[in-house]
Amino acid sequence: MSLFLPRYLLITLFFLGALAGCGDRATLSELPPVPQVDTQRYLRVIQEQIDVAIGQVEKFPGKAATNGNLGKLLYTYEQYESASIMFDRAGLLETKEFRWPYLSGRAKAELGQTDAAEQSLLRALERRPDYGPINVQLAELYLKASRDEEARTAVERALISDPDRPEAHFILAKLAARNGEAEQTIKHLERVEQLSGNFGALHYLYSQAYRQLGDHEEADVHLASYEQFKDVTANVVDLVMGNVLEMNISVNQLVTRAKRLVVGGNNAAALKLLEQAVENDPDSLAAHVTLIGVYSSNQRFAEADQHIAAATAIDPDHSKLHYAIGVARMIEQRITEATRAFERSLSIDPRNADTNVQLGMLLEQQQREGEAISKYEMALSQAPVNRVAHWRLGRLLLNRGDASGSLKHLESIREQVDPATPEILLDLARAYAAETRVDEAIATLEQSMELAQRFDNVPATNKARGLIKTYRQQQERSNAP
Amino acid sequence: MKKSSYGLMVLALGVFACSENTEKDQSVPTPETARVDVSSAAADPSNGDSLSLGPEALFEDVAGSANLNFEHFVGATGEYLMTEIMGSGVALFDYDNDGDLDVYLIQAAMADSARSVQESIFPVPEGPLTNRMYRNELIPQGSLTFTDVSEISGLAHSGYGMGAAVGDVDNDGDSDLYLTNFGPNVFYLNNGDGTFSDVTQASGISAPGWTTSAAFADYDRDGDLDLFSVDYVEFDVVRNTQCFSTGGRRDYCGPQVYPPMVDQLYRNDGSGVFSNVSREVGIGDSAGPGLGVVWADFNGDDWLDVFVANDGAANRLWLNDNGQRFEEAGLRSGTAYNAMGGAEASMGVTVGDYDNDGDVDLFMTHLIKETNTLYVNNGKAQFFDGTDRAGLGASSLPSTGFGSRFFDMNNDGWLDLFVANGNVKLEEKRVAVSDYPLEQPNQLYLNKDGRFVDVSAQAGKEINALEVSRSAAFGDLDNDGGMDILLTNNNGPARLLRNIVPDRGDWVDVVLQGTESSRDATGARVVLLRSGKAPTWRHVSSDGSYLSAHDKRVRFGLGGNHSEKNQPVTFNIGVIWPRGMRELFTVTAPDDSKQLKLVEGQGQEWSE
Repeated sequence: MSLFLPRYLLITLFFLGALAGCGDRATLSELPPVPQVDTQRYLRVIQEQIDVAIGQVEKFPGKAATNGNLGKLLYTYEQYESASIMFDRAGLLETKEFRWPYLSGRAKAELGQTDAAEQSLLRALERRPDYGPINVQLAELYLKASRDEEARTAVERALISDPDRPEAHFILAKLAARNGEAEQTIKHLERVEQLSGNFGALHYLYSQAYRQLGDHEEADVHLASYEQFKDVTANVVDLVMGNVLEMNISVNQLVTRAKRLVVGGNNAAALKLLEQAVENDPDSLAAHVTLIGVYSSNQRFAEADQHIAAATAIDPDHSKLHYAIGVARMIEQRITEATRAFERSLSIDPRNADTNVQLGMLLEQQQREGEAISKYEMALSQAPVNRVAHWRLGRLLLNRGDASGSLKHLESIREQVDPATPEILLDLARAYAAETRVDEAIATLEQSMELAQRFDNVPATNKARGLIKTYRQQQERSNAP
Repeated sequence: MKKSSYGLMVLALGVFACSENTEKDQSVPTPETARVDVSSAAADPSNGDSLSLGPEALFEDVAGSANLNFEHFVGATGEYLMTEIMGSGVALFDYDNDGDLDVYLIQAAMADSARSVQESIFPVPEGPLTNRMYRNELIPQGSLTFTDVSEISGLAHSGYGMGAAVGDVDNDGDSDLYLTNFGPNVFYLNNGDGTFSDVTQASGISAPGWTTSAAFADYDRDGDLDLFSVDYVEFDVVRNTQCFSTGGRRDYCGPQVYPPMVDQLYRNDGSGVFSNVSREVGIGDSAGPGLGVVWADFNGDDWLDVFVANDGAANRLWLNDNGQRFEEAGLRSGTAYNAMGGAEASMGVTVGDYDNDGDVDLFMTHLIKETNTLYVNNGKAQFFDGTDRAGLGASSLPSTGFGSRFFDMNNDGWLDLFVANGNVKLEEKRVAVSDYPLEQPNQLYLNKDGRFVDVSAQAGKEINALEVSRSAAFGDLDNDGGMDILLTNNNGPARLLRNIVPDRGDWVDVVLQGTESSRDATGARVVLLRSGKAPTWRHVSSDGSYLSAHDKRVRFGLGGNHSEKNQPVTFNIGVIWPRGMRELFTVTAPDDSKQLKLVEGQGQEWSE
């Protein structure tokens, strides 16, 4: 028997193979029509970006990538309905690719279309069962629809492929919380914290769970942490969605991404994004103000001044501009100008907690303690768990001889542990001592010393040690017959 | 200094967290996927009192046929002034004490008072650009028709109107009217003869700035109504900030762009004069971009607390400490933020016992991409976010909600929900087809034993119409036992959504008259006690929703399929009066008016 197949059979096999490769790939006429996209009066660079993508779809309407690319752009500029259509087109053209139904599901979820989103996400899951974010998104969808058991199953699937996925553990915490299982909630949150670090929602959920258990002290500690981290969101690893969001070149997005980079210590990359934001929209006050902050913190005051000038030309009376100027001048040690800038900011927005705290600290430096107290009080009236305001106010009251007033503030912030805690505990111990509660003062100093050693804070360690010695001597003297 | 630079930098970075237009625009949802047809879903046999809905429409707009022709004007000139998109309100109250609810609608003016109406980019409605008072002719004519009595009543106020609050401030048996404005507020005393007198200056409650919602209640239990007024942001037409959508299109700004304002509490001194006691009672300097307000006893201590819904900032729950002080408990009560600690854009707020467990729960409407949020009370002013559990999560994501209230649309004893929707940012999908692309459909939810089902799809065409709805006031305007909705549309017509829910259950209305307490008994808690059934708690209020005042008769839906339907029925009704007295009334509900009038001091002493 010949090893060579007849020619007609080869041709037949070739076409069969080609068809198999296509799967059930849709023809152009079977695709949903490309939606009308209105980019009129968009920022010029964004308009161009979208127009290019539309042009590619017109040129290659049967190519999944061009359709999907336009979908991504529309998604990132929040045109979810049009985006989902483009993702559906791409998904029909590329039937083995999981990204398109995944992104379509995300877009439909944004629109509150639970059933349609679920179908798309399940399709994505069939195509790529090990991509964790699909299960996480399904779980979120089920949570919103109060389908808890399905949410739990989806999370468990996500954890099979990645047992350390913090979003999945966080959903387990949410599920436990809504079932009133406070201890279980805390357990899951501890795992999340281990995997993901601090973020606002984590501490808020902790506080709710502890309050449910009746541990109001611990609940308040987490509320304070919540205040500290409330602008920090959980770090989610989702490369597919990450790529989509990075396509967004709007000023707000660039500024947001730049801020994240700064928090992560990457100032150079942040500056690049911010300069791009200013280039895209020279009239963006937010971009200029953020640049003032980043340049001045890098001691590049000349560049900061350029952006102060640019922002002032846009809106000379903006409270946030003057706040940024105040911070810049503080870093430059130009205290009088910093004070003036914060005062100007407060003349526009008198109750802003951050500005009141900053100005309070400057006023303290200038021995204007009475005024500083009123600034801290104002800050606390707006942000009752503002830690810095409590600390500074507690210390000031102590220095003015009002130990019981001081205790009220310092005790409220003693539980949260961070590098500032040893110093706070030192002040608290002094307040106890002033109230002749020497035992508590010594216990607090011991705690301060332990934490100071943990944070390598040598001056605080020495100070605590010295005070312990002093108070013990006092104790001995008073106990002496 | 170097060591602290990082902290300073982070502080500096925080300043623009929300400063530009970070709120989200998106397209209108596909109704068939976002909503549920309940002709089958609502048939839950778990509670014999629950009523099912058929496929018929539930509400119809009768504004035109009732001669209620009101068109709201926003006075826009293309400058995207924030005031344009916020109004406006409505009050339902029986101003002439003839037994039916009259309608007061708030009008705006040119948003920039320096510009003329000819410069408006939208058509100017016919007739005077003033608030309008419409007298209901149901009694004695027998049909729901309205007569415009704005001028003769003295209520044709002109200004950039926002909302209204109603209460019998001088305890003389008729309802007085407080108007909030972008600009000075106005207070009208009812003369009892169909006319009102402007007593703003003498009363001392003309706050400048931008007041949104306001509400009366007797917080110090001295027998007269005090006033809480909610202020928004320090917006100034001359210093209008330019904001942009994600794509860079010019759009309306969010509240974060402007400094928030401080709310005010005014104590009624009993002589027609109010004193501003905000600082004295601890409300003082607490600023927030407030839009909604409700009074209720959240912790069951018989003192009325007040809740303020803030737009994009922490909500405030002020717990009343014996009428002397208020303690802010938003954060600790779990009502400042949603379950994830997110500050949502709270617009409207309503309070009621949606789960019939005897305490008051809170529901707030929010921005597109945020859910509306249900805070469930444990009776001690500790709340948890029960939004998803109650079925209110996903369906609210595509909409920006404003006016909303718990109300029993089918008289089954379970409080349902209506949400008036309309965006505050340009709807991307509407930009090409609308000259005011903020339109969204409204939503209606049926409460099935504590879980809500979205029944919007069959609610009626006006509820599903694409409009920019804002306020919604609730009351039985035709006294037929169905709670109707007076809906206002920003830059559009007011709608009178008459309740035509088929097979509604029986009902009884309770009207309280205080003698020691304030005359209209605002804040009183009322419980309907029936053998073999769980107690049903309601309270006397006309506040809540958004910029609105409501029918303050207490409506008890008695459920359907009762053999006693249309027969006189004997009830026990317990009342906790605003001054703390507890009384029990054993009454027979007449089958004609379905209205019971209970007077303080005429019941039996009662302990719950």
